[in-house]
Amino acid sequence: MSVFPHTQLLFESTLAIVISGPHIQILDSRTGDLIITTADRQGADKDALLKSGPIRLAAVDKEGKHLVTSGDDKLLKLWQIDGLKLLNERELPKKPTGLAFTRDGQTILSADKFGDIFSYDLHLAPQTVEQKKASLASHDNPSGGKLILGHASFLTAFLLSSDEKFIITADRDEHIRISWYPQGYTIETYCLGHKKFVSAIHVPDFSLTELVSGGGDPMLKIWDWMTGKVKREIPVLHAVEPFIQVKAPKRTPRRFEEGGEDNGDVTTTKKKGRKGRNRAKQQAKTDSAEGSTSGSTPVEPSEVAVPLEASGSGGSDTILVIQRIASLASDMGESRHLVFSAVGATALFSCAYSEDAVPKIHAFDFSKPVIDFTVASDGLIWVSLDAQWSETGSNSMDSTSAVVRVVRFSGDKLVEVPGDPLPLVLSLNSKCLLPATPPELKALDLYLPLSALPKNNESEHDPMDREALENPGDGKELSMKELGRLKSKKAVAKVQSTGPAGEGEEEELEERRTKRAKSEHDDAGGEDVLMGGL
Amino acid sequence: MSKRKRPEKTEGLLPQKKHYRQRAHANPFSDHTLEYPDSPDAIDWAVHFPASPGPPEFADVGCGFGGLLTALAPLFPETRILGLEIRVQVSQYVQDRIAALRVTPDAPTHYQNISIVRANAMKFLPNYFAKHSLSALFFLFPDPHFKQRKHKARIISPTLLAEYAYALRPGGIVYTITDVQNLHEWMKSHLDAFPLFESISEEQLRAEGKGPVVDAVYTSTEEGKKVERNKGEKWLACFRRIEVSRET
Repeated sequence: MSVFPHTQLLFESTLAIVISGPHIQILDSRTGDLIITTADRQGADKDALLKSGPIRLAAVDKEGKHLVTSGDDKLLKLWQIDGLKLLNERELPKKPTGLAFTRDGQTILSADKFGDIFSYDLHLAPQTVEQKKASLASHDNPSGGKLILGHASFLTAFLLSSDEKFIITADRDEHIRISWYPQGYTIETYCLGHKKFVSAIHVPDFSLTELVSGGGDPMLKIWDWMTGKVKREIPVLHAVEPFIQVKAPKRTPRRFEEGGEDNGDVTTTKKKGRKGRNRAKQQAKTDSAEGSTSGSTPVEPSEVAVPLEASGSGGSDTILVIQRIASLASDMGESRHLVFSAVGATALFSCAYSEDAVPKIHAFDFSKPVIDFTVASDGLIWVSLDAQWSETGSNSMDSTSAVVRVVRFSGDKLVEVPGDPLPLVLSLNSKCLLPATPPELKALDLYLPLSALPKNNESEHDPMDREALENPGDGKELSMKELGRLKSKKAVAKVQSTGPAGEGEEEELEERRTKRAKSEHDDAGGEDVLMGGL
Repeated sequence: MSKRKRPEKTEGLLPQKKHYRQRAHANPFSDHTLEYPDSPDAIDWAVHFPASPGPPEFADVGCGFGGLLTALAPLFPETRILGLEIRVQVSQYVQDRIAALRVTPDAPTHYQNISIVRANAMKFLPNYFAKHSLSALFFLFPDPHFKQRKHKARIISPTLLAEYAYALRPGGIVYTITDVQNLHEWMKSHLDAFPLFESISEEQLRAEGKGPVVDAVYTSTEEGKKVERNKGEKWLACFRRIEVSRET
């Protein structure tokens, strides 16, 4: 039997909130008792859950009152944790990539693949008038969110500073931006220096002025985020690479589509995407009109990526994608550690948080890919595993393999906490396992970042890349255009080598300044009229 | 008249546009094979401005064939001006053109203060310009992206304005001009609504001595001339970067 892995674990005082495929389960974190689950819902409720597909993102507020979730249907669902009641749902403009509550629990922030951050009030404002799309509106905004800021690039991660005066956003184009919050239009600074996408950022509780970032680069970077200066780097690739068991598929050369609007999601087929989008909108409209969800429409397939071959066989690449970064300090604060995971890696990694030497990276191998991990307030680190993964690609459940395991720091290293004294671990590995069909598992697409985050810029994808013609002499015939360019270039080079119009000719130039260079008119179609009029 | 010296050489120096033609549009959201610095600190400005290396103070976003650059070069000989253009061929044309102008004996100025990078300004502007480093930012005849679905590709949007405000120093000016009235209204409304910009009239700019810049904005570009030939209308909208304080 196949089961859903637990894709996210959230702890809130005495509760553990578990995301498993399309379902939410809430357990007592001490006894492991299942308090409530959406898995036993029936009728329209069940249809709505399954229609939304796997829950991609979930966040819980500080007081443990509310939970927000979203899936591939771009619906932001607000749940009351007590009784798991769906309080409201709203359509997001684009597929979300991150969710968070503000500290007071009254505002929900969402980041999306278009690069925007919107904020929404906890309570749904009654929409009296149908919001018409203004001709000058630059952003779709179906649910009346407040646009905080936007990058022209897929947003991968964001967080609020501890005083909530700043919002830190990271994107697929290597940027980390520090903006005021909520006045996101004022950019305080950037933390620039990553050469590949940034996919995880973290501010340690014990060092609030520092930001740890990671992504596709072989190191983590630690910034003074208020000034944008990098303070130090921690090389990690050497330690992580041996554990990256899931490989990204080699890209099949896709015909470059001009005007594509998938905005970075390289695995989305554009045509499908557009149709799917429209359909989603129509569906949303009918939904709101009827005031209920019908559940007759299948899950929007448009954004489902090309499935990643979970096999290590040929034609695949090892890609580093840092997935999550967290930090821990011991009670007395004398030992500080970073913990991080990488997409498709079977280990959890840790190192000392130290300003002095380059720290050694320790790996704790689970032999199954780590999906996610959560640091609980007691210092225990809960790790979700893709227990059904195997190198051969068969998705058979290994009976000895746990889906959740727990580790903690012992000195500088992680050690496993046996499951026996932790009823919650036993529950998560037994009664919380929900059956999943192979298509449902496929739709989870746990390793999408491996193919979606690296850039799709091999030259065969880019019709603008014609640099080759600037390097003649490789035996190819030059076109008339190329010959024409070379002729001018050679002429320029000749003047430069014989007698450049540099410093020495300054006076001569001065003399001639009143005269017009005829050649410019010949060429530029009279573009330089203004120069003569000085 | 200018042919009395080295006529063959000067004639062949400047590149010809017909050798650099390219389709007019580029998708700003796709991953082009672009080379860009990872931060402004990583740029060797001596490559661009060999006579007086340093970061630029004016930037022309989507500089096309470089009409504004070459017009401003003699007006502001002490000011470094950088053009950004996403189309490979067009940016190469401007590069070759500047190289030729720098060695053209009869040129009215030395053109050491203008340069060009092939860049996607929507994505990588902060890679080129440090905070508050610019005093003027030009958007001349930008791609109108008529279809509503394409509006997000427009170079002026609330979220991109934040990046322009970041690169501009307080008091710096954003110049926009277009022959498409709808786009003009779009740009104007977004700049008007943006807290860090305030509208500034053409008269006011002229009163501040920026008349020659305004003239160049109107007439120096290929697009500007085309509109003139076709007797079309041009819509100018300029804004000043202002500062705001924290909400309390």
